[in-house]
Amino acid sequence: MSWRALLIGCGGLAALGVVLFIVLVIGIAMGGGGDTDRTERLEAEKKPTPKKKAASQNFEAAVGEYAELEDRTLVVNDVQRNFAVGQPNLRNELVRVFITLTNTSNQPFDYNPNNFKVHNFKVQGSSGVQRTPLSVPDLPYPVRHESLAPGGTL
Amino acid sequence: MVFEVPQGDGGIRMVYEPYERERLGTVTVTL
Repeated sequence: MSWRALLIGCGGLAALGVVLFIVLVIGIAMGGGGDTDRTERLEAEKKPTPKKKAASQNFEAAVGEYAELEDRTLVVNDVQRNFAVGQPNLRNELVRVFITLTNTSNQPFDYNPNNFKVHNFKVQGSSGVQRTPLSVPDLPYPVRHESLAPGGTL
Repeated sequence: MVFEVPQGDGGIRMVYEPYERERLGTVTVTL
């Protein structure tokens, strides 16, 4: 009689162990998924978030941040202060700006950094004075008046 | 692109304004 009770008790413990093992496996599986979600969330936070704007509104961005307009995106990739080329006027410095402009529409559009009346790109200082780009010969990656095809990148 | 700005100006911003589409808006990037 005592052996039978002992066997029944062992069987019950074994069954309980199996149940605990299954619960543990399920818990690990669910916990692992949580870590994956957390990793994906952290990776997403590292990527620059495109900022969208409604039409006819001013839009502000920082260096490395995409500005997404209706038919194009613009990002300033890098800025070099005190760029050493040529000779700026007294009390001035040269700033080199690296940009990427992408046509996300199905229509071409023009860009023009050089014509003062229709220029696309200007730099504005604290005083509010706006300046157009300088023409620097032999500089790599020059920006001229051209048309950007659909899907094209400047 | 290269711009000439006041020496040491900490408030420099680049302004991009698509001239061919007036209603598209303006992008201002703090440099």
